[in-house]
Amino acid sequence: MVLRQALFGSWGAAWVTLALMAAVAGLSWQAIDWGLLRAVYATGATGPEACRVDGAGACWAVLGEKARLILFGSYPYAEQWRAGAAVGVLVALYAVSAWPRLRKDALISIWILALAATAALMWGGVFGWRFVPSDQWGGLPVTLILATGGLAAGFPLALVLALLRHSPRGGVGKALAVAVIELVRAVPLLAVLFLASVMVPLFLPPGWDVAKLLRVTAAFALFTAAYLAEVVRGGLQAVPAGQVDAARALGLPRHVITLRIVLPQALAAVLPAIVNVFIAFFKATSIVVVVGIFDLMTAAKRAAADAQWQGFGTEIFLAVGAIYFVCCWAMSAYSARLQRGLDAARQR
Amino acid sequence: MPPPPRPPGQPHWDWPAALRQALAFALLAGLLVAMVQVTRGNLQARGIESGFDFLWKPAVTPVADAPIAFEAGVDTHARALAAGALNSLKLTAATIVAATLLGVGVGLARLSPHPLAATLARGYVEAMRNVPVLLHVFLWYGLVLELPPASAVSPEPAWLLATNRGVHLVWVAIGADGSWLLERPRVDGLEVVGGLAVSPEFLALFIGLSLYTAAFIAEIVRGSVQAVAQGQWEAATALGLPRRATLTRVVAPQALRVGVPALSSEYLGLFKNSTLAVAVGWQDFMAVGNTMLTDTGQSMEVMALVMVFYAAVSLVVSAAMHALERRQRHWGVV
Repeated sequence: MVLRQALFGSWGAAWVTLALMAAVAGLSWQAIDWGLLRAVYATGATGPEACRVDGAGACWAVLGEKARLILFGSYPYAEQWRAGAAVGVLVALYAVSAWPRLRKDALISIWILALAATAALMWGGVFGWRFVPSDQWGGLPVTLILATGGLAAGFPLALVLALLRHSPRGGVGKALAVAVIELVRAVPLLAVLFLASVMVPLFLPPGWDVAKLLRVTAAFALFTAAYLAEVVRGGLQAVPAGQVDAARALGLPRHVITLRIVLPQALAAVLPAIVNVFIAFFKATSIVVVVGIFDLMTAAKRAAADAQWQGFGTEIFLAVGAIYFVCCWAMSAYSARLQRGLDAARQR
Repeated sequence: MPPPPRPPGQPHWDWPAALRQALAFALLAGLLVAMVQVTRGNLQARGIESGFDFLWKPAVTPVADAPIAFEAGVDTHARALAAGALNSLKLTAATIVAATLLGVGVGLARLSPHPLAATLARGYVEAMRNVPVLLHVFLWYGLVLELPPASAVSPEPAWLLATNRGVHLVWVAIGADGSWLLERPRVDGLEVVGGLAVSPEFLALFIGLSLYTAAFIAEIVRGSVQAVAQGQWEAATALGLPRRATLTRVVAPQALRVGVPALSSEYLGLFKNSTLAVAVGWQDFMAVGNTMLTDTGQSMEVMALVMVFYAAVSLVVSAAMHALERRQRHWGVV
């Protein structure tokens, strides 16, 4: 049998197999013992003390206790169904966007609709819903809003930056695009976030006040745009010159050539890389914990810092890690499928 | 319509294009001037000084864990920034070494014909890279703080002491008679004395960043080895080279050439990720800048210094990498 040959084909392979099996068995036993057998799933009337008895394993009860705080943060308790619905809308938006049979020109209207629905659900003030200011938002919806808002505003900006930088004629626009892309990529995301949260109020005329969440989302958009622009530029370079020549020969105007001939081919060629940039930024939203935005990671940190439930941070971070993992893993599976499709198309 | 071909020898001056450029330039300059005016007004209204004089005044906030001595209230802001910069470089250097060793190991394991090793390596990569690096740091920070307190550890000197005050390692020290000796850490009351002290914050950052970055390095290793043409493997095998020699003498030199650019940008990413130190309160350059910003209120100057520091290191490293690549191409060697 092939598998036995691979695992025990030689003395060396056999030793590696045995050592790895022993390590896996040992670690799995530890994990099962701590996470399942000795775990405390509910505390009942005793509260956190039930998790502190000798020999108690993982305290999953803390998740039940803190679920609302971790998922929705300080959003008003009675209105949290709205935050949940906003999460549903955004997840559905991504599922629909990844659906291969969707007409791509319908995407823009779908995105605008979904973003409007999210804004209505979160802010309220319409349909008789109570108004909830953005500094009371928290948890998973904020993480999704930062990522989605950053992408929705950053993607058009990335297209503009990439086209400017790619244009064969120089000029002010191209110099500005190069400067923005290179500067943003050379500094840490955290520097741009500090800029947005501390410095932007200094740049604005007195009396102008932009909510912090919006400022930070704008910073994410700028950052996403700079990284996406380089990916898109790679796609632009991959479009054969003959495509532009042929379109010119047909007498198509310049903007039609760019929008209808060059960009669709460029974006299709780099779609997997675009998804990968998005995964990186979805993970990077967690950094807003430093500038005081209440996202999923901040919620986890607050939950872990509760004095009454102190010492169960591991359980909370593992659970929040599972949420991030499911999102990122689904996106990277999608990116890998796109890449396989591209490779297959190239082979033909 | 394509522009008609220009007759040779005739200077070409595209008036509409030049006008557009001038307009764009004027707009940009106007925007900048307006922003500077508004900002100056805001700064004056808030009574914030400007200029870099604060750098030579004493800093009030201490810099913990710094490689150079720093005394709060005596040493200057400039020295605080230098201590922070050294901390940033220390964290990055330690993490690069650990992440590279682990990443190369995991990457090679993923390529190995041994199915169990390959599966485990794949599991490692997927589990590590699909969660935010900050989560790794927070998880490890929590775990380090859960370690027993120094008072619960036996007072005997040990090679390695792990307490909730961090890890203390055996280290060389100069004894009372001036000779070199290995000093083992031991518990003295509530404190751990002797040896090399590693703070919980540094440990959490080091472990978290290393585990996360190693997953990406493993993927770079896998990609670069797979980029080496299959024929190279076959030719080396046909010559009767053993697998180890094929890997080290034939494949690795070619894979390095493919992998070095990706690896260098991964290292730069790690350098920028080291700013996560702010999240656990460890004083790297960004954190020192951040406290200085609140202490002095001179956010413009401090942010400019922060941006210049990170941009300068990034640009210098990427310029060095480009030079290395050019030299490799020139000499045709790795």
